[in-house]
Amino acid sequence: MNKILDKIKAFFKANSEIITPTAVLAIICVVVTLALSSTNLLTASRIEELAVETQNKAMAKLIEADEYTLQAAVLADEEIEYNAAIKDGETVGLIFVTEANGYGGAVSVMTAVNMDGSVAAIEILDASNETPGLGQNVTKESFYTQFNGLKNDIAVIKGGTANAENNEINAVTGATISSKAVTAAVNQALDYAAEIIVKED
Amino acid sequence: MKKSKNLSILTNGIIKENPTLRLVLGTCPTLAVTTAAINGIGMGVAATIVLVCSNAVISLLRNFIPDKVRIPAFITVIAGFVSVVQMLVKAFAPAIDESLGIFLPLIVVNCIILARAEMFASKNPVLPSILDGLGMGIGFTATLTLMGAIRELLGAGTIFSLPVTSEFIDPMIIFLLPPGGFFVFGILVALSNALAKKQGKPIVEHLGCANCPSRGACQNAVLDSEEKPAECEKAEAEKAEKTEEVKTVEKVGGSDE
Amino acid sequence: MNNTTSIVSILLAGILTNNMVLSKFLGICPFLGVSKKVNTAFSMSIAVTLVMVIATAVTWPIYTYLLYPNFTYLETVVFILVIAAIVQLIEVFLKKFIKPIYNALGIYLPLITTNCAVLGITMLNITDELNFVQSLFNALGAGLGFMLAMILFAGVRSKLDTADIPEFLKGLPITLIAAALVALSFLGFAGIGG
Repeated sequence: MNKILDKIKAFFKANSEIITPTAVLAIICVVVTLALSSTNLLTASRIEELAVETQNKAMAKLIEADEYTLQAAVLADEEIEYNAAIKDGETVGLIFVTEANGYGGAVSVMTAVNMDGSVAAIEILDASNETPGLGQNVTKESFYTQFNGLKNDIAVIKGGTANAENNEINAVTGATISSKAVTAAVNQALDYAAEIIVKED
Repeated sequence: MKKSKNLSILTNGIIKENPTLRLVLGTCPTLAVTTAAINGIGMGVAATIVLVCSNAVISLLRNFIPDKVRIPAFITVIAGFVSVVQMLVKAFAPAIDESLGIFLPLIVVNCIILARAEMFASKNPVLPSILDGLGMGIGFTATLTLMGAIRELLGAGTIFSLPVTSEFIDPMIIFLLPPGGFFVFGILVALSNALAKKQGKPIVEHLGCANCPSRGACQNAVLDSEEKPAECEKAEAEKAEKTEEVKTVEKVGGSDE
Repeated sequence: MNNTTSIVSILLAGILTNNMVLSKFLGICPFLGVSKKVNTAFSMSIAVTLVMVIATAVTWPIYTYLLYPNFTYLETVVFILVIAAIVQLIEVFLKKFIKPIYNALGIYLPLITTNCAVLGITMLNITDELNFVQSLFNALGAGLGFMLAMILFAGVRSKLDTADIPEFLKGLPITLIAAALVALSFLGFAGIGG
């Protein structure tokens, strides 16, 4: 028994140049991992709450309702999630989060659709990849309120001559690509909504 | 006497060795997040917290970390603090998380932090290391905020989102775009050089061996200059030792998952 | 981005529109530090591209199958350690088996561990929710974009050597201003990827 112990000791002594650094690094990693998982325990629920809270706030801004229930549907082999806005026990609108590629990356839009298939209101969730001062102007109220009341297949017009009666919106000056991305995302939400509304009827 | 020494360690990073303008470290976040003054503050404060904490811990551990695994050990400690800060920011200041985006986790590879660990914290006691981290952090924050303010003023006509010139001058959006970032930084370095010259201090010429953040880690920092200083040749000799690090880093990487 | 984003548009975006250095500000240190001569710039970018693609090939499966969904908070620590290990392994491997390549690229490899472009691209692959093949091409595109920027800039800088530069702009300031002009030219590509 002692012999084996001696052998182990000798082995450690002979290889201490490799073993000590390895052990130190391993200890550091374990400590760091522990610290991270405890921070995660402390913050995870708060981060999640925050996400839900932000979403609820955004939804409340778009369409007034008593509650919003998360739904899932399979449309054209694609599984999508959406929220139904319920008021007095009746579904008054459907809320989708859709994305389209803009100038520098994905633009994420939340669209609330009335049950007649028109846009109730939209909110730009993320345009942080767009150019500040140009593409990011899609987050301005004067742009995104143009969508209110429009129906599917919204078109983007350059030069400020759009007519809401023709289902058109004005592009942000100098940021046609970002404007088109928002419009594509809204049109997609309207597509989804149309299919869901038909199904429910 | 001792007090004044500590004070000079603190102010060292703010002015004399301003990490951004004098040492030219951490250029990536400097250019990327400074589209608004508030982003500069957010980035600066996050980096300062990491810098102070990692300097403190590395200084505490400086006698326990074998030289061979120094760099991986430093990086692990730094990455740990960055992740903690990242989670805290996500939980309590989500707006900052959104505006800094990927540059928040990228504080890990911010040269300033590894450079201070290597050059200062691994050789000095805890208190000076903390002060050094704090000073460097303040210097970094101040420069980023200044640059953010300049770019925001010229590019959007506001400072801290408060309208300044936006009412009567069309802002020059180009200052918010990448070229504006390079340009404003170039002008700031030129100004700091001019000030340094007036006081008879050397100007910042290039990013060379002296400026390379992790010259200990990088080993062959001088790639551009014709002759290799002795320092770098010595580093090359040390390189052979590095082979062993591979194994250790590997093992530890595995234990993480 | 979604699953339908084609590989061609990912590559194009990486090289031109979302250029690592000139529009995302990743990898500025080597961009400014190792771009004085065209041949060093070229070797450095080859090494960076190589590490980016291999690092993506390793980190993507680790994140997708080991870290997701319960341990995502370890992403930063695990990724940087994996990259450090990969860089060392590549160095040893090249030194042992492909000596000529080691002689050409060897000295650039240790610089890459702390290059934010490499860690950046592996993280962007995750945040952009790309699949494995898309991630690999995204890394390749980013690497090639880095190379394009480096070589172009090295060309510009070689002209600066003989130019008559105002005293106060000499050194780093004029380099940064030249970078601003190169970045300006890259703005022209924006929007191509659609």
